[in-house]
Formats: sequence, C-alpha cells, structure tokens
Amino acid sequence: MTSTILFGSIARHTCKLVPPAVVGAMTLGAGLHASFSYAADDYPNKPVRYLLHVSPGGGTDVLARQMASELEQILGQPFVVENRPGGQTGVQLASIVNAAPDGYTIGSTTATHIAVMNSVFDEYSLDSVDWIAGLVTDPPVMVVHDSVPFDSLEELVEEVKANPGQYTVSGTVDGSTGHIAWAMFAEAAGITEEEVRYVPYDSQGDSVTANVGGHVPIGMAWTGITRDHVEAGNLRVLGVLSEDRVSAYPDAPTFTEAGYDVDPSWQQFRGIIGPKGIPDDVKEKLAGALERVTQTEDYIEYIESSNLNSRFMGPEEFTEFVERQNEIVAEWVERLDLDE
Amino acid sequence: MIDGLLLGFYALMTLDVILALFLGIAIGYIVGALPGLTSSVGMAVLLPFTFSMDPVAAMVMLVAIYVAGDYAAAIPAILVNAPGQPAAAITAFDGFPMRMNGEAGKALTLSILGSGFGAFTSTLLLIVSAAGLAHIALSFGPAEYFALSLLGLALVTSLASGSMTRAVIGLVIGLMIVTIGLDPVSGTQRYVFHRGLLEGVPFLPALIGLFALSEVFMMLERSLKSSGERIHSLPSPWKSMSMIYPFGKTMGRSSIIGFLIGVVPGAGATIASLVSYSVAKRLSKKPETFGSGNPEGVVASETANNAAGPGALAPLLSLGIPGSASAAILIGALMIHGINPGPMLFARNPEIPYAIFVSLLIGLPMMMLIGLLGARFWVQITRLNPALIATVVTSICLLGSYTYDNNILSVWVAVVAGILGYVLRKLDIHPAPIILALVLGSMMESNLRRGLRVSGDEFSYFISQPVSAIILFCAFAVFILPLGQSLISVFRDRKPIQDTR
Repeated sequence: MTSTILFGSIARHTCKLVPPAVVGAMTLGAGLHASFSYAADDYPNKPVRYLLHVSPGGGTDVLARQMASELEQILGQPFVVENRPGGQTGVQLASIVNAAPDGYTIGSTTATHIAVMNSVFDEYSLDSVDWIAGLVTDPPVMVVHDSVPFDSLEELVEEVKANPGQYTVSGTVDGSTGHIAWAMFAEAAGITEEEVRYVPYDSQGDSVTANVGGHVPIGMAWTGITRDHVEAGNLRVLGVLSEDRVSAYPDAPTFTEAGYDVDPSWQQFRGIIGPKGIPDDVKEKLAGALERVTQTEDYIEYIESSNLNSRFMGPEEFTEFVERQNEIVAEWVERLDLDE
Repeated sequence: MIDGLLLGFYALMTLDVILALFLGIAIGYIVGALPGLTSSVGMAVLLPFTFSMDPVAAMVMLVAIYVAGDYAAAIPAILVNAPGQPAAAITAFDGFPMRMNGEAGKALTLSILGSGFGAFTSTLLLIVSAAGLAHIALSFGPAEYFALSLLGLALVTSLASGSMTRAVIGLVIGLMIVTIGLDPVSGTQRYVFHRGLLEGVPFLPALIGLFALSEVFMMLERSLKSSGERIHSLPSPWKSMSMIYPFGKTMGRSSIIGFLIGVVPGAGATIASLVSYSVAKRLSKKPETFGSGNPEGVVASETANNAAGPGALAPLLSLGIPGSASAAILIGALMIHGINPGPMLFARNPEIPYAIFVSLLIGLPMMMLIGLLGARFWVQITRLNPALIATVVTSICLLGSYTYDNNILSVWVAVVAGILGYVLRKLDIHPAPIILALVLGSMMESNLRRGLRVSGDEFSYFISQPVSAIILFCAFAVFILPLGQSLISVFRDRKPIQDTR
C-alpha cells in the first residue's frame, strides 16, 4: 500500500517535469498494477472530488477545505473541493447519486440532508447514498436574552405558561434541527404553540442576532455561534440538548437533567457521504484516513476554536446515527404538519 | 483608540501585509470589473490561500478585495450597462447614458472619486463610532427590516426615469420572480418547476441576463456597423481631483447616508444607493435630467454604495454579525485562524480590527490612484467595434453565470433573463426595478411574515414601533407624493378634451 502511495505521489510530482506521454505511460503502469491487487490497495490513484452543498465561505466550507488538505497529505492524492450549492442540497445530491460508487466522488452532509430527504425530495432517501463517516456533532443549545426574568428551564416554562402569547422562540426554517429541538422540548414541558410561537430566520446567524437584539427573547442555537455573546453577557444559556453537559457551558444542565424527557440523540452534525455502493474496503480506507485527520493538531485546534464537538463515527456507526435522526425527523415532520 | 490605531499601523508595517494589501486591491479591482464575478466570488476563491497566511495579512487582503471589488462594479455598469452588483445598477442609470453621450471618461473618473471619497469618509466614521453604532444593527427587528425594504421599493418607483407605471410593472415582475422557490418561512415549494429553482431563481445570472445580455442585444441592433466612438481626452489623475469640487455637497451627504444605512446588515449598499440617489434627485434644480446622464446621479450612487462597505464592517467587527455574503466570508476566514469574530473581538484580538482600519486608510487612496489611471485604460473600450464588445461581453456573461454555482441551469437563466430584458426594454421598461425587487422582495417578505409570527398576526406591530413607523411613513410619502403632484397638475391644467380626429 505504501509503495502505491509513494508511486502515486512521485507520478504526480513529476508531472510538472516530464512530457505528458511519459506520464501517460506511468499512469498506465499504475493501472496495470491495480489489476492484480485489491481495489482498496490502490485507492486513491487519482484525484478525489469532494462536493459541497454549500457556497464558499461558511463553516461547512471552511471545515471541508481544511479536511481536504489533510486528506491529501494522508492519502497522497488531491481532494478537490467543488461547491455545488443550491436546490436545498438537491444540486449536490444529484451529482453524488449519479457518480460512480468508486470512492472518487464524496460529498459533505449535515442534518439538512436528512430534513430534505423527508420533506422536499420524493426521489431521495437515506438509502440513496452511502454514509461514510460522521465528523462533528453540535448539540442544540437554548439561549435567552439577558433581560428575561427567568434563569432556568423550569422558570422559563412557568413564565411562558403564565403569559401565553408573550414569548417567541427563534431558529431557522420550519422543520430545521433547531425547530424540531424546540418542538421536542415544548412537548416535554407541555408548552403549546399558542403559548410560545416559533419564528424562523434565514440563517442561524440572523436568529442569534434577533436574540441578542431582544426581538425574539428565546433562541434555539449552537455552542459556537452563541459562546461569545454569552461571555459578553448578551445572552444566557438555560439548557443543552445532549447526553452530557458541553465543555463550553459547564453550568448549563442538559434537558434530561432539568427534568424534561427529550431524546438526546437529536443533534446537528457534519459528515461525509458518497454514491450508494462504494466497496466496503474503499469505504473503510477513506473512513480510516478521515479518522486520522480528526486526530491532527490543526484539526483539533480548529474544532476547539469553532466550539464544535468532535465525534468521529465510522461507516456503520454513522449509518445507525443517521437512521435514528431520520426516525425523529419523519415523526416530527408529520406531527408539525410540515409535509406538503 | 489612538493606541489601537498605532497597534494597527504597527501590525500593517510588514512586507507581507503591504503585499497582501496590494494584491487584494488588484484582485478586487479585476474581479469587480468583470460582470458575473463579484467581490464575494473573488474572496471565496482566494479563501483557501489565506489559510497559511498570517491572520492580519489574510484579513487585510480579503477586506481590500471587498472594497476594491465594490468600486470596480461601477466600471461595467458605466461602459456596457452591466452592473457587477445590484447597487451599481443605480450607477448605471446615469453612468451609461453619460457613456452614450461620449462622456465615459468623465463618468468613470467621477465614479472612482465618489467611491474613494465615500469609502474614506465612511472609514473615518467607522473608526470613531464602530462599537457604539453597531447597536443600530441590533435595534433592527422584523418590523424595521420590513419597513426599510418597503421604503427601498417605494424609492425604486420614484427614481427610474420615465413613467412611474412602468417602474411599478418592473417591480411586480421582480416580485413575481422572487416568489419562485422555497417559502422562506414554512419551506413550502412555490412555482418550482425545476429542482435547480428550489432556492429561487439564481440572482447573479438573472442580473447578468437582464442587464448585460439584453444590452448586448440592444447593442447589436443599434450599431454593429459603426466603428466605435470618439472620446474626449481625460485629465491627468491629479487634475481630475479637482472634479470633486462641484459635487462636494453631494459626496458629503451621500457618504453619511451610505455609512448609516450600511451599518444595518442586509441589503445595505443597494438601499444606500437608492436613498442617496433619490435625495440628490429631489434636491436637484433639474431633477428631470436624472436618468439621462446627470453626473450627480453617478456621484450620489457610487459615493453611498461604497460608503456602505466600511459601514457594514461595524456590526461585523464589533458583534460578529455578517451583513452580506462578503462579510460572511470574512467571518469564515477569521474562524480558520482560530479567531472568533464576535462581541469579544476588540478585547481579545484588537490588532485585527485596527489593522483593517489602517489598511483602509492607506489602501483607499491607493485604490483611487489605480482607479484614476485605470479609467484612462477602460475608456478605450468605448472606441472598440461594438461587434467585438458584444462578443466579449456575451462570453464573459455566460462564463460568469456558470461560475456562479457551477451549474448549467444558471446559464439558461441568464439567457432567458436576457431575452426578457430585451423585450422589456423594447416596451420601455427598465431592468433596474426588476433587479431591485429581487434584492428587496425576499427581505420584505420574510420580515413581514416573521413580524406576523412574532406579533401573533397583529399588523399593528409594524406601526407600533417608532423606527419602523417613521420609515413606513417615509415610504408611504415617497409613493404617494408623485401621485398627488400629478393629480394636482391634472386638475390645474385641465383643458377641454378636443377631438383630434
């Protein structure tokens, strides 16, 4: 395996110096070499396309570009990041579904993919793609504007029930991770839609800005985006939807600790997908390389500074994880009457 | 603050950072001048290269691209009526007629002088008031945003030259186009006949088609045989500085308007241009010349839209709120360097905001010089054979539409929008109201719906807040005044209707 990687990287570096015909012959040699070894031994012997469902510049894009450069160092082939935004992930999903399942096309995924597979696309489901690896999870965090007269989830419930219609909660579009997290909490706490209305914003940033400005006093958000505002005293954290407390907010109880029975497996996440039917050994090799990336210093530093929660999941674990996410989405899309 | 500026100056005085500043200006200038490429595209493409750079150098370079790109968007707007960004569509109102009158050089010079003046004044205002003013951004909730976008739409009807009815028709077409896609609140599909339209009609390709491609069709029709135009000689960059004097007042006023509106995240630059242009038109002694090549129109629009750029940095640097696509990329760039842009930035990494301030103070005069020298080069384009211009502009447009999201559908959108734009021009309907409705329409809709969610379907919510009530009143006045005036003049000048048959 090592020799193949070495060979590949030598071939790549000599590209600049030697005429194309020679490179062609070398590549042919590499191809012959592939025919009498396992597919995974030879993988990757050409650049891998890494398709993103987002525009350049945001958190998912930045993380992907960081991953791509680390992957290149480990696997010896360039990972070429291509942005395929638009169509609510539909543009990227179509490219991935239609690509050959050989491991040379992979893509980014977040909770949005699960949501659109349930409520937007009839033709795509969890089975349309291979779930290669999970990278980070991000627990939903409930924040409130500093001026509200309550300081715990319990007091919040009391207050909103005493003043029905006075309070609103913000997040992103109906059916998003934050919306469902709120709906799950509201059900556990017995809060009705009339008592607290949900206000959707175009982006998580806009939603948190509305909380900081006090236009919407309660917000469902994430650790990274709220941390500085909490430190600056603009927002307070009342609770976190996760199994254990998060390191950024050691004093904030989990919903379960506070006495609300909300399924803590409901998380925002980021991961890697590919076309359906990638050979298991190729998938394992890719997942192995991704796991090594998650152990590099640069990556750990990035995850920490962005206040994300590194949680590596291999193909099997990740598939189970998204199946559970899918059950929750399917259930809530129906209960919130979002399927149209 | 003086300490901060010294710190920023100190951080800037390394070869790397100065080089990054130059590079940023050059890249922004080129990217902005090509229709279809915007400063945010340029920043996104260069983002990975900044990963290995020093954070100060990275930010200085990206901010330079951002500011220079905003200016350069006026170049294609003036030369080929193809604004690189929506705000420059307002510059094209007078800039393009000036170019058709053989005054391309003057229009380009004034646009760079106005932009430079606006951005510089705005940077000074930013340095003095960044932290304090950022709270304006926070005071804008759904009601205020709704009111502001409605004011923008009302201003559109008043500023287009020619009939208000035609401007309203353009607005309605734009609002109809903006309905396509997923509902911003409930996520329901609306008029989505193609998967690629789920997130709405791609904006930049639509802009390219409506303005640039339709202009190419017009160009082909007008004068394929003519061999280009004669141009008046341009004054040297130093002498052209004196051209500022007659427009001093307009520039000063537009800078302040641009800065204040720029601080509000969202459609800052576009609304700033609209407001500043309408104010200039209202205060002018000859409002009827606006839209047919009045240099004051170019100055008012360019000064305000470039003043909005530094204004938008106020909420970004002091609160971490991105006001635009470009600002979102700046946030991404900071995060990759482990710097969290947010309310703690000034306390934790003061070198970043202050280096940006100082780089703007040094970079803007540099940008003006490049722009003034560049104007002498760009103006030569008007001498070229229109057939050549048409070919080159068409290829750039189609390529630009494709690079927007690497999707062939966007190219089709540009082509269809081009044909639509051409037909509408034949009917005397200007493409600008359509584009402005595309920008402002979604902002208006989502904030109206959001406001209703917040208030529990109470419409009174929008007039019960003082700021939004005042803005709504202005919008109403803008819309109703011309109607009232024309009604009065109809009554006053009523003559017996004569049968002319």
